[in-house]
Amino acid sequence: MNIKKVIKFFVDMGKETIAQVFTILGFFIAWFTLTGTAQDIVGIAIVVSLVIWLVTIRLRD
Amino acid sequence: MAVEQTTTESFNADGTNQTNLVFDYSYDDDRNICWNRLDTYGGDYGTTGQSLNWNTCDAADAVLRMTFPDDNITFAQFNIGAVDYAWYVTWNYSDGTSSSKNFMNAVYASYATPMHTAPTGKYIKSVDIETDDYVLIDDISWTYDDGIIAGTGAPTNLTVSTNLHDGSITIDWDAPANTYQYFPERYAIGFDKADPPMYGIATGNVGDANALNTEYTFTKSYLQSVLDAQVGDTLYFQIRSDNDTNSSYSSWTTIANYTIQDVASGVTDLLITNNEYQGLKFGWIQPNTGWSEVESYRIEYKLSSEETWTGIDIADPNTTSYLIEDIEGGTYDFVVYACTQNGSWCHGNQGSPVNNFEVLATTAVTTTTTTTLPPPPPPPPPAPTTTLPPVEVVVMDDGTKAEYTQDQIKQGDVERDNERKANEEKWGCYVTNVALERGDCEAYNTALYESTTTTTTIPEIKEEDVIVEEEVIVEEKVEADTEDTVDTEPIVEDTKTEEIVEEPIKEEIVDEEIIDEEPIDDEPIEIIEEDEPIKEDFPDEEEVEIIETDPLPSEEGDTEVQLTDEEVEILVTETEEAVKKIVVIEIVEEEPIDTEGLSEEEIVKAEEDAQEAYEEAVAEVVKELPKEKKVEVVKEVAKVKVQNLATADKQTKAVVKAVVKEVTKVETVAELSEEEKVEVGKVLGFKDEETAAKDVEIIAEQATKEENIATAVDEYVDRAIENKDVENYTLADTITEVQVEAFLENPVGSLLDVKIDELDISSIGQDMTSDQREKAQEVVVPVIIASQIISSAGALMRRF
Repeated sequence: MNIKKVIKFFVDMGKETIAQVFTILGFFIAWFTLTGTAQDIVGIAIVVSLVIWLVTIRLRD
Repeated sequence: MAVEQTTTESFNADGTNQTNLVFDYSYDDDRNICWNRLDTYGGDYGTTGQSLNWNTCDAADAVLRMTFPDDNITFAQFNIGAVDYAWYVTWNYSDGTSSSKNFMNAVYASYATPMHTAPTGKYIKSVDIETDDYVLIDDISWTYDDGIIAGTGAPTNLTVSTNLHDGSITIDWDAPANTYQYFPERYAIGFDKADPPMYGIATGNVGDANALNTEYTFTKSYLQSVLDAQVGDTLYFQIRSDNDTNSSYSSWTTIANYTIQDVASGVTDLLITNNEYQGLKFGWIQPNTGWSEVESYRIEYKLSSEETWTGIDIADPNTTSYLIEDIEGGTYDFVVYACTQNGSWCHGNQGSPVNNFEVLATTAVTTTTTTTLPPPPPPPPPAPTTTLPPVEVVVMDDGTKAEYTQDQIKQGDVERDNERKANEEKWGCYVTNVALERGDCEAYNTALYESTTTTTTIPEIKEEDVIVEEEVIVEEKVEADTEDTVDTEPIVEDTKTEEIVEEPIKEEIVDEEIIDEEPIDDEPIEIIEEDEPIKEDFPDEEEVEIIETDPLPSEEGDTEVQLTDEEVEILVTETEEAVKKIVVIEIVEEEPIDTEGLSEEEIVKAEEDAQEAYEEAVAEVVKELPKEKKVEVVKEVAKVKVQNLATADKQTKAVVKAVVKEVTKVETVAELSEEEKVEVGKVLGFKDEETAAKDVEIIAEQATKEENIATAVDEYVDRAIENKDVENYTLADTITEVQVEAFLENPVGSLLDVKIDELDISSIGQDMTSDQREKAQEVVVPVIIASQIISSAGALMRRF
C-alpha cells in the first residue's frame, strides 16, 4: 500500500514537472545569464521553488 | 669511526688484472725478466686459477715491484709459492721509507703468505719481491682507509623559516655528506614547544617520493592541533637521518627554534583604481590566515621617483577598501600593510608592492587646488608631454576665475564648464551642449519639442546663423594661431560665442544634413527623434565628449556604420600589420603534420594539438610583454572589433587571444588607467564607455573566483570570431555559453556549486558587469513571462 503511494507520488511529480517544463526552462535561462551572487541566489530560489512545488502537490490538489 | 676497505687481486681467467695494481717487471735494472700469467699448476703452490709465473728463466736477483693503486694502505699480503732459494720482501711506504725482510727458508713444495702492517703514521705504497728462481705469486690483497665513516651521517645546516601570510613554519636542512657507510632513507623530525622536542614525524616511509626531502612545512592548523601553539610560543626542531634497512640512525642535529610572531597575514587581491574626481580607490581582501588577526591597516605611498613614503592609518580592521580623495597625478608606488599591536607590527600585501602605478590628474577630488598630503608634499612628477605647471587660473566666460590642471584644460574641461554655465543661465540646466542635445535638460526639451509626435522643430536656426558662425570659427582659428589662447579675456569671450552657437549647429549638420533641406530660412527643420531617450543620467559630461569622438557607436540607438566586407578586410589587414609591429613573435613554424596512416579523427586531434602548442608559445611571448605593448594591441583590436578577426592570420588571432587573457588579469587591470580599461572593455564588447572600465575590473576579479568566467575570458576571442554574424556579441554571451556547457556536463554539480557563506543579499548583482545585467534584463523577464503564458495555455488546452 505504501509502495503504491510512493510510486503514485513520483508519477505525480513527473507529471507536474512536465507540466511546468516551460517555467523551469525560463528559470534556467535566467540562471544561465547570471553570474556571481545573483546566480547563486537565483539557483537556490529555483531549487527551493521546485521542491516546494513538488512537495505540495497533494496540498494543491 | 672509519670503515676500512680490502681489495684482492687474483687475476682474471684470461690473465688480465682485476684491479689497478701495477706490476713493474723491469724494476731490477731494467732487465727483462721472463714471466707469464697462466694456470700452470692448477691450484698448487697457493695459487687459485691464473697466477703470476715470475722469473720463469730462473734469473738471479730478479726483483718484481707491485705498486698499490690506493692511498692510506695500512696492511697488505700475498701468496708466493715454489720458492727454491732464499728470497726478500721490501715494503715501501708513501713517505719514502721502507721495511725489508729476508726469508731464508725456501718453500719450494708449498707457499708462504708474507703480510705486513704499516707502522702508525705510515702507509704502504708498494712491495718489492726478490727471488732467484721461478716462483708463483697470487692473491695479492691490501687494506686501506677510503675515508668512509661507519653508520649514517646526521643532517646539517638546520634552519627554520616562516610564512607570515599563512602561518606555516618550514624547516630546512642539508643531507649528510657522502662519506658515510649508509645513506639516509628518510628523516625523522622532532618538534615541540619544549626543549628537547618530544613529538616526532618523518618525511615519509622508506621509498616514498617525499622521504628524502630536505624541507618540511608545518601548517599553522597542524601546530595548533598537536602542540596548541599560539603567538609567543617558542617551537623547537631537530632532525635525524634514518637508514631503516641497516637499522642505522644518525645522531640528532642541534636544535633550531622559532618564536611565533604576533603578525597578521598581508592583504591579497589589492586593486587600485582611478575614480575620476572621486579619488583613488583601494580594495583588498584580508584572508586572516596568519597567527594573529589584523587590527588595523596602513597605506603607504610615494612617488616612484621619490624615497619618502607617506602613510595613512586605517583603524577599522574590518574595512577592505579606502579612498584617497586628494592625490596629485603621477606615477606612484603603493603598499597596503596589515598591522597588529596598535600598528607597530605591519605586514605588506601578499605578492609584490604595486609599483609605478599611474594616478591620473583627474582622479583627485578637485574641490581644492592643493593636496592635503602630509608635509612635505611630493613635487609633481615630470609630465610626459608638457612642462607646464599643474594648476592654472583661467578666466571663465562669465568673468569669474577658476583653477584647472593642465590635463583638465587639455581635455576641454574649461570649454565644457563654460557651456554648462551658459546653459544654466539660458535653460536652467547645468549641462554641456552635448548633454543638452541628448535630452538631459527638461526646459530645453520642452522648447525643442513642438508636440508629442516624432518630429521636432527648431525655429531659431537659420542659414545666416550657420554662415556667420562659420566665419566666427575661421576668425577664431586665425587668432588662435597667432596668440596665446589661455589668459586673455577677449579670446575667452570669443570662445564663448563660438561654443554656444557651434554645438547645436554642428549637431544639426551631422544628424539632419541641413544642406539638403531646401527652405532653411524660415521653415522649421525637422529632425527624427531618437529611437529611445537616453536612459542614463551621466554625472560627468567629459566622458560623453570622448564618446562623441569615438569611431565606434556609443549608444544603442546610434546608427552603426555597417562596413562592407572589403572595408573589414582592409581593417583586418591593418590590424595584422599593427599587431606584428607591436609583438614580434619568433616562433619556428611547426613541422607539417604527417597525416599518413592517421584516421580523420587523429588528424583533427593532431591539428588541434599543434594549434594549442602554437597558442601556448605565443602566450608565453605575450606574457613577457610590457603592459604598454599589450594595451597597444588592445587598441588596435578595438578598432576592428574581435568578431571581424575571422579572416586574420593565425598569429594575430593567437596574439589577440593571449593579450585579452593577459589584460583581464587582476594584476594587469590594477595597473591600467581608466582609458586603457575602456579600451579593454571595447574589445570585450562593452559598449557603454561609462561603465566599461568598472566592468573590466569586475570581470578580472570574478575570473579569479569563478571558473566559468575564467574559461569564458580564455575562449572569448575564439567564440566571438565563431559568432561573427551575431549582432552585439559580447563577453556576457560567452559566459552564458560556457555556463550552459558546464551545466550540461555536470548539471547537479553546477547547481550545488553555491558558496553560501559568500552570499550577500545587499550586493547581489554587483559582481556582474553592466553588460551582463543589461542582457539579463533583456532575457529573463520576457522568457519567464513567455514561459508562463505557454504553461497557462497548455493547461487550458488540456482542460478542453
